[in-house]
Amino acid sequence: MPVDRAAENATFQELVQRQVELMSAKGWYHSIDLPDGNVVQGLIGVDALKGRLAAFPIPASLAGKRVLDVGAWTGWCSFEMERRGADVLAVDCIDFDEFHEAHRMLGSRVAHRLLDVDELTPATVGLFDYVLFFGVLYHLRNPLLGLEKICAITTGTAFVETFVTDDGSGPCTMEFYETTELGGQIDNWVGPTVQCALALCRSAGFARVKLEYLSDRRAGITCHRHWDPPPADPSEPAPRLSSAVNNRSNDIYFHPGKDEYICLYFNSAVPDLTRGRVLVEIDGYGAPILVLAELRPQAWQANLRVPPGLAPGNHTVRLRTEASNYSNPFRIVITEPGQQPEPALARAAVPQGITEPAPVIYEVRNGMTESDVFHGYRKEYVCCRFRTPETGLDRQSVIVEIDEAEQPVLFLTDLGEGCWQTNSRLPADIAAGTHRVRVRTLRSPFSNAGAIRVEL
Amino acid sequence: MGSVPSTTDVNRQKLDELARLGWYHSIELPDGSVIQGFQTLDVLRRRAAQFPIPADLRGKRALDIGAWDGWFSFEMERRGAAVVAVDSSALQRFQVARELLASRVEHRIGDVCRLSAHEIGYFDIVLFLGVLYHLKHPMLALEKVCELSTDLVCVESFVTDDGSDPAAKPLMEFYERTELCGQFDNWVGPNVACLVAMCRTAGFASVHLESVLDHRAHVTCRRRWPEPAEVTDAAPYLTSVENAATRDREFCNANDDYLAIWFKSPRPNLTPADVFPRIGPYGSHPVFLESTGGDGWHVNCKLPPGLAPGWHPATLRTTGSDWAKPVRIGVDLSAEQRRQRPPRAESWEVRIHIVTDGKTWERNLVHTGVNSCVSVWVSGLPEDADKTAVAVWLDGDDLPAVFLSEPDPQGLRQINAMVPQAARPGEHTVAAGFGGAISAPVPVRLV
Repeated sequence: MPVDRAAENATFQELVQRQVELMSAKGWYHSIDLPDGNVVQGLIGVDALKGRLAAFPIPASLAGKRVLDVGAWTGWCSFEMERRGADVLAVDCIDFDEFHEAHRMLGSRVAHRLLDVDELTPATVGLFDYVLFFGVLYHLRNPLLGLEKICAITTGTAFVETFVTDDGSGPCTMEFYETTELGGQIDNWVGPTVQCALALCRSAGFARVKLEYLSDRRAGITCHRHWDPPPADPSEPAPRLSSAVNNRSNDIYFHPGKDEYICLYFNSAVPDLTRGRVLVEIDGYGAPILVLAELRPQAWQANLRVPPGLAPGNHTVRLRTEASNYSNPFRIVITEPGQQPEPALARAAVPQGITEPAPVIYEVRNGMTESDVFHGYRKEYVCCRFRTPETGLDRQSVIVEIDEAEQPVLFLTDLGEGCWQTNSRLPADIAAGTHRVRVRTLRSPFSNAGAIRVEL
Repeated sequence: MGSVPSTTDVNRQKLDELARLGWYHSIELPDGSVIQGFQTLDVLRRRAAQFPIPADLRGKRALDIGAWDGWFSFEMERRGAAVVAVDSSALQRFQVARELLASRVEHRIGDVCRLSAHEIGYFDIVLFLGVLYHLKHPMLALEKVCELSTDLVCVESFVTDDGSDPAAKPLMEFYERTELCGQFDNWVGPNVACLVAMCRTAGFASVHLESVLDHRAHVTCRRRWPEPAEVTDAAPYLTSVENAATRDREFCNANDDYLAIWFKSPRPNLTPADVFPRIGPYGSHPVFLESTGGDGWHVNCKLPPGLAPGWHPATLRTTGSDWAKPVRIGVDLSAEQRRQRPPRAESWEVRIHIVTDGKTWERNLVHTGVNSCVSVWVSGLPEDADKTAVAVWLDGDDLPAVFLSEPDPQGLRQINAMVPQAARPGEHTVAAGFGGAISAPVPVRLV
């Protein structure tokens, strides 16, 4: 079935051709309005530039804010942000004489750097309250990677303006332009549908993504990194977060650059939760949920991507429903760049020496049946539940012994109120009879003994 | 829209079956017994047979990306290759199979976009099977795979159509969540046209669709052009080679650099399919071709990934022709390499008498820019010297002659050559070369 592609649309081709001709005639892309009232006429008029900007919720006063203008070109947007009081960095991949000319004429203090989108990182340019990302996305061979770079340097809101291939009614797809299919230019690589552009923005790590306008195959999208604040008067109880771990390792350790996901396990008394009603944040940055599943009544699992740009070190995960306050926080750790998953390191990081009291086991259960009887099946996890005054435990800092032999802790759950649960497997060669289970942390002596019964 | 499999009963059955068996690949053990996996040996052999992988791989290095239980790795090893298997997480089944087979396959954990030739080297054969649609940045991964390969890459991916519609345009579905088969690690679904176009864009010389079976496309990507089957035409003649963006003769692997090559060919009505650019050992297909009038042509192609820092010959041939006399380009040059002169014997016979700008005739001075040209008057060239055998050297850059005059009354011959548009202003030297001989350098200033 032939697919309608914007690149083959005759009207669209004509439009682009006319723009290219006009631009080569005028030399300037953006018009620039000078302080004396004169205007340097460019391809895009001042009214059109103002109109485009007005379609986004950009504050009129930007005093004290840092703003990044990606793909600044002749610089009208950069100078406008400066006029509103912001400290502005303009970047482009090409050094346009017109930018510098306008910069001089306006007596501007906007900083200008030649950088590709892939080179924008917190280390190279720092962080920004607002980022303008106008007319750049479809020039990227790896559009999602570009949006991830933008997300990582945005602390507040990014405004994305892009070419799109449809009117919003189409599926979530992207045209790929191998050569000059789009407007006869070799530096146009992709054409997303509106749905696809929105999905890319969400997948890049933004919390809330809103389509502001759509006209002439251009879409304006506002991408917020934060959720709205929780309601002043919550009508639902806050959830209880029992674990936040790496989907590959069940650890709280995450490795920058790897495609890792966070699995959250939480309890909520709110019935019929949906993905959109659960708001997760990490260090205050919202992170959209990819999958939400009800494991048992009131027990839920949510999977989501690690938001881009988190620095190495400790970070705090919490979540709420639309109508609740935030849950308890849970710690995750971003490792140093290049560090490979190495469970032994996590244990070595904990100072040795007994400084904490022994945990107290209050029950040991078969995870499948919730009884204390085991039959030796692979999925019969030994769930050891204990109390300890220690906080911030991870699975490497808890040691479980069955009889006298250490059994790796596969999963650690924070049950709340100082209660924790370890999941371990039975030793493969365990004999029928009663066996002793003990637990300690790296900082405590062993607990009292719990008991399990094995009937093979 | 192509029909995309969803979480159907078939899928659920498949997942149940997987859970029961544990193994995805079947593995044939030395004693003839078989670990039965979800994919039978017949299925696995059929997947491998979609690609032209030689039966004898002795002396070759093979990389298996997304090796999973490892059948393809062990099969490449059985054929004689030294194999590196890579997967995104540690898989116990691979290690079990490796021990049972007494295999020497090296297993590494890593994401495809972070593999580096510096760590694992280059490979004659790369298998990239069933991985692409799991990636958020498929183009980036294909570029990385191209960079690590020196010859053959086998790409197998989920696709959204069967490729039977010749009018289908490159289109890719994006899966934000669990749209594809209920799994959240599926990110993209290209149609066949899009998969093939992305492979070409990654930097391969040639890309060939082998087959589409049950929503899986098999694409063979090659980094080298074949030699012409039969040479019937004269070789093309390169007149200038530039970096299409910076307009000088230097290139950078980290940038998305393209070459602009100007050449003359006796063959009329060339199409991109007739032109075979080659840089170092690697082919790079034309992304743009235009006639510049007469027998002149201009072709653009991507700098093929994976070239070591240093000088590399750029050349091209047309269908039925031999390779053109190459021109050197610099890739990621160090300061030391930039100063390196071509390895030619200095000649007392060939001597430059005059150097001028080709348009203003100012002495020992050349204006850079569009159509910048240097003219030198030279003695000592043999009478039958042809312009294709003559070059002017601007420091390290060999500038092919675009014009060679007959001897004037003093016996001097004029050579004109194009100077890269963005050649660096400053003090340089020019020399003139013929065959294996090169004149003593003469100073020239670029402004």
